[in-house]
Amino acid sequence: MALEFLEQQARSRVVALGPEQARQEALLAAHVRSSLGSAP
Amino acid sequence: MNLSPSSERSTAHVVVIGSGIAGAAASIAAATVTPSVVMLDGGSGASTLATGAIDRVFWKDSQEEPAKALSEGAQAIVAALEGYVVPVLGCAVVTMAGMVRRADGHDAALLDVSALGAGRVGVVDCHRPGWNARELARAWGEGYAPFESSLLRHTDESLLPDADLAARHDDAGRLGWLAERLREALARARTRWTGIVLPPMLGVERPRAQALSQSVGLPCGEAVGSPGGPAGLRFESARDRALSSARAVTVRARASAVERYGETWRVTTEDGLVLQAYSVVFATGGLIGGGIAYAPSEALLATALPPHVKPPLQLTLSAPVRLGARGRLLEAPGSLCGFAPEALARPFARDSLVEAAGILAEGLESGQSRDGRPRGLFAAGDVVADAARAWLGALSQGAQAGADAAQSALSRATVASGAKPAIGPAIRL
Repeated sequence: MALEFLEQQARSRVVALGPEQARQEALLAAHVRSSLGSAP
Repeated sequence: MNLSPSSERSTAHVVVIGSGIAGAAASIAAATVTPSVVMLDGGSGASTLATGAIDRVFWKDSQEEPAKALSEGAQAIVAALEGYVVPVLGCAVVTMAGMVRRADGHDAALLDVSALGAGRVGVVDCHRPGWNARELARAWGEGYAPFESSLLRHTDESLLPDADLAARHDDAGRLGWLAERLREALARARTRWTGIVLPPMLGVERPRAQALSQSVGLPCGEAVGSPGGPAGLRFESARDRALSSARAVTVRARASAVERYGETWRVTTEDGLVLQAYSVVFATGGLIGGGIAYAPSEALLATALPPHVKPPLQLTLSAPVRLGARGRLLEAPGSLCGFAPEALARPFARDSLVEAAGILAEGLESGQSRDGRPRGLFAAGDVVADAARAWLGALSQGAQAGADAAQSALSRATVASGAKPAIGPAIRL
């Protein structure tokens, strides 16, 4: 039961980011912070 | 220095991994203590993407924190780099995103608008990508107005990337031509101008704002531009000059592994070079710089559960250090598939994990480990967990880590050889 639940949970997670997207996201955040002073 | 693989002479006192601002500061600081410093330069990273406004912490946060003076070591690095201004009370710069923002310091090519007298600041009206003098002047506020002047000499210059246009102004003749155009425009103008803001274009080798200001007779300087502009290239030039004066050896290579080797450390590079060092400083950069990589579990793409838990953020070289964020190890995600994406990324998390994760500095030492045996691993800059990803903060950390690493290496090298170590030629600061 518990394992089923965990498996369901794990499968339901979306792949939000790939490695390059993660890097782009960090760069975008840094740039916006530098120019606007706030996070996007 | 002989850098042949595994040879006795390739033992350095300090090896610094990374050539961004943290690595450069660490190398320069270490070189004032010992002549035996090697910096591994794995290519451009976040420091080369810097835009010229430099902060200790994120600048919005700094409004809540009292301004702290830079340490003597950090001041010495700023002076050695020649080309950065860090006023005691901070400064204000204008950005191409339409903001007037405070900063702890700035690249000397940028205009510090807080230091200008009464009057209007001219925003040079010219055809450059992302530059609209009228809109920028309106966004920056009442003290700004468009300033009519033709400062593009060739037709291609309305489309050239910022860095290429900036490189043209490294030439004294071209800078003189620019100063002449500005002087002519000033003579025609009826307004009393107190300073002139230009697009990012004032030099790549060195900041040319001071020379231009002297020639024009009015403070001139750049606005903060986008990543990948001339400010990042000026950092690289300033770094290379400072390292060469400090006589630190730079090796163009990416480190792939750091491992214990008796009382020393062995650093292996991707092309097979092996360096031995008493102290190693990790200044590889974080997610932007390439020191940390996001590597989600492959099982996320499959239907099966992964065989074991794997942290989604990893160091890009193999080393006996622990990664973490917010004071905790990264090895305890809530699911077998790793962290929930909401914890990792915006817009779900304000304080996202991709910005906080890094080497847990607590596990490293600046003197001796718990069992009394010297260890000699140090970290600085974006690769450190929970550190503000800010330029001046990384410089301060690097200066401290470099000095500590060199002291630690010297004391252990003395014990190892039984001889008095030679103190290297200190750089003039």
